[in-house]
Amino acid sequence: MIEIKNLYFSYGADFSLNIEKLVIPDKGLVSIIGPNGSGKSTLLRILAGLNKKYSGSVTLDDEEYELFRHEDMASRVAYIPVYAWPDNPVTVRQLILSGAYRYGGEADISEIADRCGLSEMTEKSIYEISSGEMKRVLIARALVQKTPVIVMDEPFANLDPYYEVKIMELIREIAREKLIIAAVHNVTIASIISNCMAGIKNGKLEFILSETPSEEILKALYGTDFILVNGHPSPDYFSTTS
Amino acid sequence: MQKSSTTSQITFYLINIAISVVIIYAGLSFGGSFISPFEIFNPDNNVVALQIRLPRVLAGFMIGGGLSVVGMSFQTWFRNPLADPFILGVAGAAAVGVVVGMIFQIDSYYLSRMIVFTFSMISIALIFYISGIHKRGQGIKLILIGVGLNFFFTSVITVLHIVMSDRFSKNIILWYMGDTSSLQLRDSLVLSVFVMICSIMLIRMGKQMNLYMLGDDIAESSGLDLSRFSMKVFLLGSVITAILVTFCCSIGFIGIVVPHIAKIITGYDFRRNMPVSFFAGGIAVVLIDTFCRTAFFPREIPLGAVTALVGAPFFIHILRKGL
Repeated sequence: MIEIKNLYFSYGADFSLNIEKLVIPDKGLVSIIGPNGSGKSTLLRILAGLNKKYSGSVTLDDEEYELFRHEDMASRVAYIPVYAWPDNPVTVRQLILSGAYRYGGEADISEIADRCGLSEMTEKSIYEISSGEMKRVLIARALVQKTPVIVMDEPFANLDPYYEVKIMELIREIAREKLIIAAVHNVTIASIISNCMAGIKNGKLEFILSETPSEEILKALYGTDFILVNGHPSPDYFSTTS
Repeated sequence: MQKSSTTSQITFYLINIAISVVIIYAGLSFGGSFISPFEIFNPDNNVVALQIRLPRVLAGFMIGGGLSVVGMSFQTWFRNPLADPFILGVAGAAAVGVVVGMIFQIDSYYLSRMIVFTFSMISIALIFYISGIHKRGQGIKLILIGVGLNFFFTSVITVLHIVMSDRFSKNIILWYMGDTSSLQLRDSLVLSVFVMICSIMLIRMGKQMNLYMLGDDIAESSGLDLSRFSMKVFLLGSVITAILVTFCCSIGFIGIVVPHIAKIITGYDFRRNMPVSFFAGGIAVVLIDTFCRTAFFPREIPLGAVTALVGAPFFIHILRKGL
């Protein structure tokens, strides 16, 4: 269980993240939604232990984040950036294996590569794969790290519909056994697969809901209209046609 | 699996060490006069082979090996393929140290070396304090500080050039070219031990470099302590460079080019290309030096003057054609 109390972090004079209380359960998918620049990524980086310059308290199973050493953090939380840009053209296998750094050795990645649909391309250079494949490589890497918590920054960014669906399935499956905290822009996807959705705006927590958020709540969050499609909210794209 | 990879690791090191020993040994045979490899330990050849050639060949190997490992580490750390051991201004600071020694007419060999070493260490300490190496994303800032320092030191020396005598100018130019011909055996051994220890410590960071290369976020979230990593690379790399600059002066080109050759040979696993870089650099310098000592005898050609002369065409060739 992750618990945030009186979290405060400011970035220059213009932006501050300020969350009084947030409790995140042990398993399932928690989506963080909110407009661009609302503080989603900042919150994720704090939860992943990559940003330690905050005040207040963040605990994982009642242990303060501040007291974790790098290895402790790496054994508890894995982080998936939006994209990875390694300096050199390493292979998919090498990138996935780097998740095993904290416990050393040559882990057997074949099962995880298989699960992420990557077993055919482990010897490819990461400069040759598509962004959809890169997303899955990064997920595989996080799985190799064997942590109870995975933090994902925009797992659905830059994906075609095929990969959107593939990664939805993959994340849903992983969320049965681990806690996933993900920043998601696509509210429809978030609503379909999340166990819980947290809305952030201007660095403040607006809501945290375990049921589907209403169109009104979402309009207040984003400032644009939403409609229900199959019981899930979608931005009202059709309003632009009239 | 684990066992076979350990065995191949040992084989890999044994092969490299064997080749290096053969090359160093061959280096003792050649020079102004040829000494048969079987006669090297003959007491008659003691002075030429062991007192004159050995220190130079050994130092050459350490220059090549040490600077290549530092070059590889700095290129990785700065995420910049143009980084080399002198990028932080250590050589410039050492040159100012040389000049200071000349101005005060310090004749004692060790005292003047001490001054040079002190100057390089001061510049290292300076960079350490003004740059905040332990902070994230300082690479560009560090490089720029290094560039600034290099220009500053060059400027100091240029001004002195104009003020001082011609002999002084020639000496400082010769210093910049790198010179190993006046090394004593004892100094060469001491230098080798230090460079070797620091290089091994850097080479042992190969696994961390593999992770670092994937980007700060990935590296840190996988358990790499970035500030510790940066500190270690910076200190080890700077100390190796400072020691080499103190005893052998400034020798360019090797530290920037050999790492690239090592990557072409072995790929992007730093557990492999760091040691390959060390051995390849050492072997390259000994070969070049041995060739020049033999071909241009009795003239002494400074090592730094020829490394690029021989190395640059070779480097451009493998960039175009591969090995």
